Amino acid sequence: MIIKFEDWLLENGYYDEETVRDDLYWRWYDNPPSPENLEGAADLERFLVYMARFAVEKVLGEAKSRMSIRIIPFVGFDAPSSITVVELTTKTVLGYVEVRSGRFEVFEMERVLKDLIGQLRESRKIVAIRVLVEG
Amino acid sequence: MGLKEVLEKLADKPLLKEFAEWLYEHEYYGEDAIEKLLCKEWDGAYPTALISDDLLVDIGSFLYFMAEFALEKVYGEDWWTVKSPLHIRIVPEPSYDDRSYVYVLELKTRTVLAEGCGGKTWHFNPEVITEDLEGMIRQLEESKSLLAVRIMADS
Repeated sequence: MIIKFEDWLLENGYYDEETVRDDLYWRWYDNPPSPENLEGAADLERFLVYMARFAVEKVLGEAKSRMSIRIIPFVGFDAPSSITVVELTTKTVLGYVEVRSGRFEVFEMERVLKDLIGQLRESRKIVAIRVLVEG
Repeated sequence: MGLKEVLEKLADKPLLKEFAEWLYEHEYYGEDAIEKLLCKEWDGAYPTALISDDLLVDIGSFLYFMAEFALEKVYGEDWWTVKSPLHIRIVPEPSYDDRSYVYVLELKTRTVLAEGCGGKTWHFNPEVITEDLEGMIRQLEESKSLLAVRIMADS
């Protein structure tokens, strides 16, 4: 999954090749976001949005344009960080994953992506039922 | 300025007065900060005198407290404990130059219970804060029946 995500990041021009290949996996591991490292926090917040966009595009594809989707990144210092994806018309949480941002590295990225993609897949059925039942 | 004086300033705004007391009881802010946050218009995206190292954390914390107050009013103070059958999370999405939001989510039924704020926090004032609190309380009240239906449907 992480390899596909790498390619997607490069295709969209979010990072250059050197950053993706050499720096991305250890970017926040050695320098975790904290009140003393706000630049790192903002940087991680952007990255969480990219992870969510990748997952949404992969799972929902064209269907996302017919939904009212919001991606909510949250970088916590005392509380856990998280990625939330909601659909506002049906008031559905499509995905919610907590992120161990204190030690954020490649295995954690892979876990977060897999978890988020799994939840988004499940949510397609949930949204369809809610549209049908709740109108 | 003491809490009594702050509450006197909010005498004609019962919801804000209750919010002020709640913020003080929970030790989220002191009297002076509550006065700057609730009794007068903010002089920017957040009252300048209260800005810490991170403006986004300041705005996000205030939005979180608004949602927590509304939640406690509607779902009771045990909403976050093991006694509650629900799994509720408050997720703020602060911004200093764009719209800010705060979401209240129930994760077992995957339901958005409320979406609060929805505007810029620039020049937040007592009237806007009251409207936002009322809006969140209304949404949370409405969410009870939606949750009941979804819990029934899921089981």
